[in-house]
Amino acid sequence: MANDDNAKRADNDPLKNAQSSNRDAVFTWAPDPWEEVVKLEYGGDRSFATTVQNMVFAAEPKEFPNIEKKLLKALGNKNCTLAAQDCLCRLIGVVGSEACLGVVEPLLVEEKTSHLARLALEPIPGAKVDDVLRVALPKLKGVIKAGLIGTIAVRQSDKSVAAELEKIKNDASEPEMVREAATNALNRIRS
Amino acid sequence: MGKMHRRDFLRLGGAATAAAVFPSIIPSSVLGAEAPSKRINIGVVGTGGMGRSLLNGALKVNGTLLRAVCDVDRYHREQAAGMINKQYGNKDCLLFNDFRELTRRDDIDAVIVATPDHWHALPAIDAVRHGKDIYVEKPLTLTIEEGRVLVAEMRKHKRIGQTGTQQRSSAGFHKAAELIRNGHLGKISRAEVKIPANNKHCPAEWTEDPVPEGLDYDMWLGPAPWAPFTRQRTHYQFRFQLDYAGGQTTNWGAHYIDIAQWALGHDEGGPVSYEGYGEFPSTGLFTAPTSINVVATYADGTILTVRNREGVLDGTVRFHGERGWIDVSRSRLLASDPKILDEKIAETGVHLYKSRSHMGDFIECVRTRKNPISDIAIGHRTTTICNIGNIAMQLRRPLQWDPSKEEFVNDAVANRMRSRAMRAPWSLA
Repeated sequence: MANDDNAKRADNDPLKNAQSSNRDAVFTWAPDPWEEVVKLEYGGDRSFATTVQNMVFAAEPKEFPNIEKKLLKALGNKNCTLAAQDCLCRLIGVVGSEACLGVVEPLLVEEKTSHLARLALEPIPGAKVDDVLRVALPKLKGVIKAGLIGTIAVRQSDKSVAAELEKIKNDASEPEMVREAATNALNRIRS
Repeated sequence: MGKMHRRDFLRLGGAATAAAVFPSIIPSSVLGAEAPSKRINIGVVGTGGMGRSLLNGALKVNGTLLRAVCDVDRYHREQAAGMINKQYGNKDCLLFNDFRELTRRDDIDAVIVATPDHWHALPAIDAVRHGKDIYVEKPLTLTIEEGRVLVAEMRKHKRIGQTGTQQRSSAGFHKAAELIRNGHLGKISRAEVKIPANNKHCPAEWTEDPVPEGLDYDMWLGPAPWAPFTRQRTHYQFRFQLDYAGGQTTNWGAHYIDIAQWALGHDEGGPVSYEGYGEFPSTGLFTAPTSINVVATYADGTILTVRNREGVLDGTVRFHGERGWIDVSRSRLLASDPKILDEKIAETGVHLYKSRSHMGDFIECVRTRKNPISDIAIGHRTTTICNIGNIAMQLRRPLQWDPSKEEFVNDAVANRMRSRAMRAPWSLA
């Protein structure tokens, strides 16, 4: 009987040639959204990303460390796409902590991902986040430096960065957008 | 003393200078609303459908001069400039791609902001910091934090600001709000807001399209996260994507929640607790809720509900009180007992600010320096309710809100959702 069944099944049917002992496993298998989210592409099916987002939004505070670990594991996957990095960084910004710094910090200094890193870091309180932002400041140039200055200003938690911002504000070699960002940041930090 | 701006100078010194220098016979065109000293020079940032509609309204108000337009879509800004030049019979209208070239000009007194929602706060704040009065389309801002910063800057720079919640300048809404505020329905137990459902839809997946010639797409994205261009992302349909707007919760909610706030006398505050049961698309380009269901409660126990409904283009708000109900929308004013609508407001009662032209009221207030009917701070409170509604629907749990501190009570996650990091070089600082 089993062989007759197999003969009728299409070649791409996962049950073709399946042993009766593992048929249940084939029936109950489902993709893991934490692995699938890594493959998210702009314009592609984002239902796994939505599932991850729903799990994050539904989590109790005691679950945040475990949720954050899963988000960081996905974000740290070498195959993580830009669209997935975008999605994951936003969610880290919602429930993340200083524990994310090891994975997120490298994204901060790259032009393509700097904003995504700030989506994660800007809302996370803590002196260690302030330190990472301050240390990154001299490493950045141009538009992403202006963005980082904006994030430091909005956080308002690191007053020690004022001297560095003052220097940037008066540095004629800096682009106008960076000097303007420093000027606005100083106004915000001192308000 | 802070920097004096053109309009402040004209307001303070114009009359005295005129009396001392001008001859006794002066043409009315010189001292009337059309006089250069009283003329309000206006720039418009964002000249899509709504921007051009507001521009048209401003052209009809006496004593205005539309000097400049700005849009990141060349087609839109040229259309707008064409309307202005046709009205004035010249080619003087200035055109800009970057709003800063408009908001920082000394010869502009007031700026109308009618961009997509993610671009409301930054041009408005820049205009205020450069001494301009502002008219900002609803919903006032994309995030709660943007609204807080805008209101703070308005106060700091003593500017005049109107939110584009024009229903307040409509007779029916004014009448309904005034009757309710004066107790003609007795104590109000609840206000039910119904708003239209989404009127655009998208497929489950989308593809990248070439950026149309004339559209500065990077500037269009502005503070929002980078994403490839696709046809449905930008004009009009931006409002169904949470990176750029709040869906119908903020699009129509901003109008009808605003009327509820006005009638209930909560312009400086809002509900203190929220629950939301929305549905969000699980895939596709659009991310804003397709089903909206928010229940909010004021400190005095009054309940505000917000729901959407299919097949209707207008919204409505129905107030339930001890004496029955009043239902008001753009097309009708009804009551459970029609006689309620004929009742007169006592002379000693609350007489709400009356405006019959939203743009006209703004221009008048630019001259008098009084707060307009939909002051920016009022618009911020209304938009805050809309935005909290979206947050409550996303988190699917009850939220407590402290209107005086403008923060959620004991909810770090919800508090983080009050703001979003902006894409460089843009910032709220």
